[in-house]
Amino acid sequence: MINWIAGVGRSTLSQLSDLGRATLILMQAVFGSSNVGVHWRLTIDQIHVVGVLSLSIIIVSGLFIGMVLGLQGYTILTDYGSEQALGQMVALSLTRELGPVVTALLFAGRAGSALTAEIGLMKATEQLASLEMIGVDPLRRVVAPRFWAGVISLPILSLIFVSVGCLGGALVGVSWLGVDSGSFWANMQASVGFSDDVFNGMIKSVVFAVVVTWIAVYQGYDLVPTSEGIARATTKTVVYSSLAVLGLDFFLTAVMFGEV
Amino acid sequence: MTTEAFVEIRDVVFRRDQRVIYDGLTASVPREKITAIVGPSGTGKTTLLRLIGGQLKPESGHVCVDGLSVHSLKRSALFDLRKRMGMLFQSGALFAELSVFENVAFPLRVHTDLDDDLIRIVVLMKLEAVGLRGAVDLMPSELSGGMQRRVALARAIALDPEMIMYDEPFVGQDPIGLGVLLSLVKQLNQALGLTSLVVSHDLQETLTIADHVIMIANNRVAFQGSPDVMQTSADPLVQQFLHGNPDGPVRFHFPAPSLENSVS
Repeated sequence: MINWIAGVGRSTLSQLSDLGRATLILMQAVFGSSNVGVHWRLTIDQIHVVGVLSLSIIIVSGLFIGMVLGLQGYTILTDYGSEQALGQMVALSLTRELGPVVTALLFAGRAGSALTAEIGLMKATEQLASLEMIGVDPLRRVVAPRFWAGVISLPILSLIFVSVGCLGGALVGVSWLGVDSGSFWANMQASVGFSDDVFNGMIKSVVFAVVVTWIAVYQGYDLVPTSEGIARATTKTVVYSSLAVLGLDFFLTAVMFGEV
Repeated sequence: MTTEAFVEIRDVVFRRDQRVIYDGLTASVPREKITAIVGPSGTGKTTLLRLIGGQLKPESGHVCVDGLSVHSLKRSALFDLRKRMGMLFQSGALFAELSVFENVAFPLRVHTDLDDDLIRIVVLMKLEAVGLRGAVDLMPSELSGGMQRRVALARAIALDPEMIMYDEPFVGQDPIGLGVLLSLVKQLNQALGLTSLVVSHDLQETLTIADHVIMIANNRVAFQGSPDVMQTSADPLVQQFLHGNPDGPVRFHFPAPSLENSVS
């Protein structure tokens, strides 16, 4: 019993110290002000790597999820004779929930794991140490651009996901199943509010972006520099990010839409 | 001022997890000389370089570089100090996504305002010194381990530092490369007035160019002085190391319980 309590205490302490280290790394990376011009260029490069190169998976997934929503929504709504509301259903599900959450999960798998592996490999091959000895802070040179790139890319990817998803819903609902095009789009336009739905969805997306990218760069920077350590850290990035996104989503939804 | 030691290490205690690496290590590295750090493997010679570079923090004790206490410096001051040191890593640690040229140009681009033409001249000069001007457009992955380390040396001297720390520079070099590197270390030291710290297992070769030797064994400095004094030292520990005897004060075996206990 005593051992069990001691074990719980030990793991709590080690997790707290992990969190503290992660916070310190983030603070030093984000609030270190040095040569903004160079860092802006590095950030643009990273936006290409983590953002632009994730476009294909985001667009394809968005299209299919929109199409599935159209199909499922149609079969349910026709039971009540209200298939005109399909546009509203598709758009609200996407902007409020599926857009931010699924994009963040895909981003964690596609870009987050790659960030962890890349930074981890740089650590394992002493590239981070050699940056330090050249007098360049790897937190600012390596971690900060990747962090900012993630924070900027994910919300934009999420917007693209939602837009493509709506088109997918229209493709199935309007073109295939024959819902009236005018009522599909008019209903969508009337029911989706900018501040309530789009803006709240964006807030979620920004929060997920910070959390997922933070987890990814921290896991990469803090890993044990061996092949096994890199494998474990990459897995951790995906698992922790996914859990964090889903948990935070419930919390944010409760705050944003709970009183309705 | 110039006669004092460039690096002063006092009573440093350092542990990795529970294992004691240094227990009160005191040593000094004279200015503008070549200092060899030798000792059995696993005694933390690389660790010493990392302590001097401020990448590791000792449990207690001081490390001063050119009068500055490394571990009480602020982060930005520490990075400024590191610009005055070059370090050659065991693996070379070149940036994998940059070409040989860009690797050597990197410190110049980050820390100076030189224009591209001037950077090109400096990079080619540094590569010429290590005999790899022809490899300027290759990627690090296209080079052998020994060549990578020579490129890393060119990068380490790109900013003309005041001190260079070489971590096992001679590993993986053929006899010709070894000879060239030895004379290069010597030349750099004399021509630029550098302070050089060489960690190496190639004891005899290193001693031919060293002005000063620090031997680390059993968690402390076992010998400190000139190579000549080392050769004639009566200390059994030094003699064991110089002649490669398996028995003596230096333990070849990693600490372990007795064989009978482990087996039964």
